[in-house]
Amino acid sequence: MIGVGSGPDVRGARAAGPALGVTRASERECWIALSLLPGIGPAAFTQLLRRHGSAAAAWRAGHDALSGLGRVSDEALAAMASLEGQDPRALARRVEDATRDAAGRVITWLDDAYPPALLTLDPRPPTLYIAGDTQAFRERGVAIVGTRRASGYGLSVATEIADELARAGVVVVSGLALGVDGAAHRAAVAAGGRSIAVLPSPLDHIYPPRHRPLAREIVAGGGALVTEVPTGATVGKPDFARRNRIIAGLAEAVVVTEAPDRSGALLTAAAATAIGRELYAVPGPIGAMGSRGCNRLIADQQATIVTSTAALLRQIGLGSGRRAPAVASLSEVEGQVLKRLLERSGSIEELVDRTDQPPAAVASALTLLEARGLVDPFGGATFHPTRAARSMTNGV
Amino acid sequence: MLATALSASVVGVDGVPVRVEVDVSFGLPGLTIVGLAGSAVLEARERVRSALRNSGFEVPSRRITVNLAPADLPKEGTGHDLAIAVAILVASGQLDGARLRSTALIGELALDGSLRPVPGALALVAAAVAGGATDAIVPAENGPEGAAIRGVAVRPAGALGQVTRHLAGVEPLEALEPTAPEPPGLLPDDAPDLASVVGQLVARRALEIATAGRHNLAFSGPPGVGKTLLARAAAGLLPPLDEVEAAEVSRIYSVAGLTDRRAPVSLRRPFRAPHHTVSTQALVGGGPRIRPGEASLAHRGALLLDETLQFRADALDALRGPIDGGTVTIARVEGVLALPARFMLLATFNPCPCGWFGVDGQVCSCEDGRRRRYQARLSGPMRDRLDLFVPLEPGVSARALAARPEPSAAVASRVHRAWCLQRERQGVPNVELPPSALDAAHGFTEAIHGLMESRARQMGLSLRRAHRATRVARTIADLEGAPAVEPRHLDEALSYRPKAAAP
Repeated sequence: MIGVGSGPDVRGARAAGPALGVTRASERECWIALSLLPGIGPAAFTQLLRRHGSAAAAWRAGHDALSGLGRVSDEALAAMASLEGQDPRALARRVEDATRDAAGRVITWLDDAYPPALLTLDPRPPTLYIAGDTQAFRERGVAIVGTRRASGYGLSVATEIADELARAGVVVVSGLALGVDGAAHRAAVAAGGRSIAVLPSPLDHIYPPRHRPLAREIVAGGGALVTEVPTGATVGKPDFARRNRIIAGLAEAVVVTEAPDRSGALLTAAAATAIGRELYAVPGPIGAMGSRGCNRLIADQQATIVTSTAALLRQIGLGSGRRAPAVASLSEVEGQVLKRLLERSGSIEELVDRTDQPPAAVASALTLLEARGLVDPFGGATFHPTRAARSMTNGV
Repeated sequence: MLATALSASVVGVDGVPVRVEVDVSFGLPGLTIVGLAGSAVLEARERVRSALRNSGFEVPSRRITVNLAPADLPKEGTGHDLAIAVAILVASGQLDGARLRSTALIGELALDGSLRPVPGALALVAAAVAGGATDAIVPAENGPEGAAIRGVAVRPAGALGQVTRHLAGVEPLEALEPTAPEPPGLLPDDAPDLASVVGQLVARRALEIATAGRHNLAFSGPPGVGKTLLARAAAGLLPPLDEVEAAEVSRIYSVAGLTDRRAPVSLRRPFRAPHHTVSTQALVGGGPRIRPGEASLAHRGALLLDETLQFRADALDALRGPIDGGTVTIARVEGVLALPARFMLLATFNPCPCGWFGVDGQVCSCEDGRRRRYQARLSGPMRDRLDLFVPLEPGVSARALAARPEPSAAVASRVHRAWCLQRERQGVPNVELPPSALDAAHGFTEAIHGLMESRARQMGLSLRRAHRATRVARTIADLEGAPAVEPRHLDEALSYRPKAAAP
């Protein structure tokens, strides 16, 4: 019950329970059961609570409960109609058992573990399904989002920011998608930090399947997986819109690292603006299709421009978690290649051109730099300097 | 009466000596062929009968039994016709058989008694020599091909009548001068010259390394960056075959019926580029009458799979065996046949169906699932077998435009030098170095092995990947003429390793 009393509706729910002779436990069960109904989202749920005072009362009212509400889907009406005679306890227990089998817990507003950051949302998700350490929700969080079809640039920026945030003790929030999301989670876990992945799918069907090992690493690293989709629900289309809202909600700031026009990341950006979270965007070259969404956010003054990781951390109000500068002895060609890369990322071919060195020398220099963790091609053709390379002070 | 003539049959790409035994005995008139003869061989009955009659001989109206020994070896083709006809003549007393013991007879008979060429003459004559022949009579068109084999007098003939007159000692057939292997000459006509490729210095470098050590190479990149042009240019870089290799290669072409009759033995390294619609059988060989596929035709040379990911998945998978072992294995009820297929693989592909995935400043318009399915066509095991992988990017700098690209001839001479070093040191190209040969005698010091292990750890490489990179490093050292592999060689080799697709 702690950390719940932020709105009159919730206070109403707590007060109404005992008055109607329903025990606390069954109010929670009715709550969970009610949130399971198809067509009842956070908005409808909140309205029901306001009207009836408690989930248990709304449940008892059954079909009639909806009749007064505006904009109720036929789906919801049918679902409510079928409730008559059903035991909310059984429904709630079933989903709680399924969630436990998926190594998670069901968490409602009524529970202490409900993420405090989401309490500021209106409407807010009535029920969440969470795996991992809920302590992750009590620390400062920053979301990093971006396109699934990320370029090496997008991946390198996401990695660098996530790494820096994790070292500063900030929880990196993202959506576990391919591309930028995955890179952000991975970097946070690799830096020994906590990360929160907000899923568009139930806990027992982690989407995308390719990131299931990553999801396990996030939990093992003290982070958490969270979703609004009930465990054991029929697996339908992943619900990205509701996920994006939670991503923004869990974070105090949202950083869009790379997003073309019409990217899903822009929806998260819009959600961040709508619920009053700080929005940052990483600029891209003016010709880069993959960064057009980001550039537009900046041009339209919806987002603050990110000029460097250090500047971003300062703006968020964090000192840079700088490590000691790497000490590396580099040959002349290696130093030259790294210097060019620090000016601008590029492929081997470009570096051959920019350094005017033979391909053989540039190729072997890049391998050495990669082995020392100073550059990273992120699986593609373009090499990017890493944070370690940027913090090098000796002679490059 | 009994007579025996010497002939040969093709099994896979090898010839096997065959003794044609003919017995003419009393009994119901007829001609029976035994000895696992295929349908083309059985039809020899009709061809031989007509050819004999139309050449002025008599088909004995007695019981004629033809046995092709070894009798447990399946025989195909029409090359036994001549031997059967002559053996019948000897068995029926129409011809003196004294010379038959040392003369191999190869050729298909037309109904009028003239001789028609047969595929695989090279392999057949070679087998006849192994079977003890000192003379070989072959159809005129097969003459130069047969004469490529040493240690045998190859006598081309145009018709059955000429053969019998030769055997009777009336009108001897001339023996051909041994055919000399054709020098590889200048650039193959269809190979683009590297002088026409502007920029792409890294891809050119990788191409040079790959052809020098016969490593498998892949180019990926968006449409129009020159992947195919560069890959085709490999044909002009490959060093010439040595004589042993040339004999192997020409035998395969002979069996496939693809021999250039004027120059049956060429020192030019094969370069094959099958279209992506090729069937699995046409790619690796097979079919009811086993024929060498593109993989075998590329033996000792290069096999270019342009738009590799458009090839049928089963066809690509069938290449794994030959890439590893250098042979195509075809299993049949009658047994297992191995065709040589030791080629260097050249692959080109787009990174995704639209072609722009992962290119900086561009947006890929492919749906995620479609792109993943496309990329998955290059299976892990195939990706593992690539030695060098170069992503090409569009755009040429002003500096590259101003520079004059090096012509193929200059690159080819460096490749040839590197190959000579390999041949002297180990007799095989570096790509075929067995793991046991990665030792000091081959220029791999303890320090290099130590570096390889630490790089493998730092970059998360598998042992197989590290070993492949080590062999590439050996080739890079050979291109420099360096006796030992040095750290920079290994680092350069590692920079061309296939990278995992972006996460």
